[in-house]
Amino acid sequence: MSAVLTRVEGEGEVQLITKEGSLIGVEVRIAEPPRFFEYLVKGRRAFDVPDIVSRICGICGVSYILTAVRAFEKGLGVTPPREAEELRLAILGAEKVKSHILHAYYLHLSDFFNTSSLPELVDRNPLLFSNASRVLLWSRKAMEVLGGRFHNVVNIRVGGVYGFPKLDKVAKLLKEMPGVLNSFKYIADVVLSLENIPMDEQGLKLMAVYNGSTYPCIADDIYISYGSGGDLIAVSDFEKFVKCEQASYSNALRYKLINGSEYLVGPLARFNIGYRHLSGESRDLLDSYGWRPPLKNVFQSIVARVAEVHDTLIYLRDFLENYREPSSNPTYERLEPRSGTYVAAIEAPRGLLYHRYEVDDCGRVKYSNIVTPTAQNQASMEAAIMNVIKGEALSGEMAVEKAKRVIRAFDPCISCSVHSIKVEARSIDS
Amino acid sequence: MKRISVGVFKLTSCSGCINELIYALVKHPELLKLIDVKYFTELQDVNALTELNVAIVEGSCVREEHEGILKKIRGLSEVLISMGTCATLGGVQSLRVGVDVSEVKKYVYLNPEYVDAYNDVKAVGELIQVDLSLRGCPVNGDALASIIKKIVIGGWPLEVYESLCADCKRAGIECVVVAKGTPCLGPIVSAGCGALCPSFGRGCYGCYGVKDKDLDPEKIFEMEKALGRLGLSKDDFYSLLKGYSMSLVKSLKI
Repeated sequence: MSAVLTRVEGEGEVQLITKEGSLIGVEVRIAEPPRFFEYLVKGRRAFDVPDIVSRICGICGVSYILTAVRAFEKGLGVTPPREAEELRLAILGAEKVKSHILHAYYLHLSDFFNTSSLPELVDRNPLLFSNASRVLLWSRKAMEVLGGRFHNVVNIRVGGVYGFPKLDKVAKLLKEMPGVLNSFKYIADVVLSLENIPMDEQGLKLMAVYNGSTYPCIADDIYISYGSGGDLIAVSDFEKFVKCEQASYSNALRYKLINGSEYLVGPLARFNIGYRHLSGESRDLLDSYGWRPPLKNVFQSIVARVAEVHDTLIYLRDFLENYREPSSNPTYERLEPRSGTYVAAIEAPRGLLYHRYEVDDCGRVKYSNIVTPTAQNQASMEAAIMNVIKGEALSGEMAVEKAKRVIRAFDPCISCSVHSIKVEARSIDS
Repeated sequence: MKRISVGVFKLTSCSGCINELIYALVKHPELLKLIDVKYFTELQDVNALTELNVAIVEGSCVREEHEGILKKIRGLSEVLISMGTCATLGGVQSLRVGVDVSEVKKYVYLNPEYVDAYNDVKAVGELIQVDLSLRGCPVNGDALASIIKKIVIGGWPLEVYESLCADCKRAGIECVVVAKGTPCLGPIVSAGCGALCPSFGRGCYGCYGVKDKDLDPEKIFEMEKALGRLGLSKDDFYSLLKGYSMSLVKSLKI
């Protein structure tokens, strides 16, 4: 049994492998053609890398740009000027709002309303559509003013930013903020009151970057949560704590912890690890609907997305309120790459994103390794489908539909993942 | 008004242009009443490969299978639009062109034999007739909305062949080459982004692709030399052209 994945970013398929009527395996097939990004950056000037890797993902390009930029800055011992870093984090925040609203409303919410398409959902609840649209369109304006455009922003560079937006444009964004927050609260109300979000515990192992004092975003350490207790490891040790595994039946590269267990990255992981660092306003909002950590089921990721959008809008409101256009750009413009290894991890909307670059004496990339959130979630996705469907009679379409819903809850980014994973479908009986 | 049937198809790309299309539909929800979406896997569960008034293709071709899909879509469509720089010119994945793909596969994958891709990266127009080519990495969502509206009422967009410099002049942006000596591809690149990079004080890196009309190819070599004097090496100059203008690099034999 197989089905094309719809309402996800990119092209994929899910295959349920059955034997004598019961499910014995699940394969998430990435049909997306490869683009070979690690090869594309080979030989390129290190500081040109951010603009190239931005193109890995049509939704979260800022995360890719900033991970590469952060790797080079860290490796060169440069701390970006405060004004530039705050502006970059605001661009990253606007991207998070865009990504989560796109997923939660445009791709995912249909599953909770049992509609099969966006136009159908629009007809069902026009007010929800207009409110979601208002938030999404504002996030676009914010990205345009702060970063240049909605996708493949042009304003972030190693050492800082290219330019600072004019105060009048920023003031306009701020003026719209109360309306945007109101619209968002309408969406939050709909999502947080949903009564059909599965609640059963799935025993999830979680991972997110974490600095111990702020909500997971950019950090030098990574927290791995095993349910009870966890480990804090250095980002530079990431590759020692995960293994890239290849299943016997296919050429799927997927990541697991060194002990062999699958793990989850993304909003749910960040929420459980960093809940206490959410703003009081965000915690109060969640509390009023009875949502508290830990979230225990991947379907509850939509709750974490709502929490994060709210918290990010609060961050952006504060940023815009306090914004001053610097009289001159404090960016370090005269940096030059040196030979060496450059490593960084940040939280993309879909989870931990890790980059490592080896740079030669001429300042050009000779090797790179990019580990995307979806590649890390691949094993968890298949395990979660097994968990949800196991023990149920597999009545064809229903089982496939359920499997697709599980995958959608992960918000997989197939365009991102394909450059590092390739999954072939196998059937042993049909 | 009769609704036009539309299909949206994705080949090798990042979905960034498809997201611009979704933005266009969100910003102009009236479009959803003017079009009948037959195929668009990012938006809906039920999709049919059927006759279409308009097919929109994102992404470039990297394997034989894509060529078959494209020919099939062409056969079903009255109007076919290549959306974005990947579909129109090849896109950033073209940076690997010129190297044996088996080398490329080995570099990235543990089991290269499972990865299906050929040596070339082809723009849609290298394989089938394209009625309208939209550039941009990503394509401009507002322009996209306006084009769809025009096609719905039986019109057709005007094609403009300006270089990026025209956008810069109109916006009153100081020339980064003249003022700061920053390498900028503006003079040889198509307008359409609103001179985004120069508006942030940086040079254009050509994501709308090199102009294919009203530009003497000799000027590209002149440009390479001029930017070389500003510190952009020949290798880096041609990498920018490969990354965002590959099909023209092939046809102009640059």
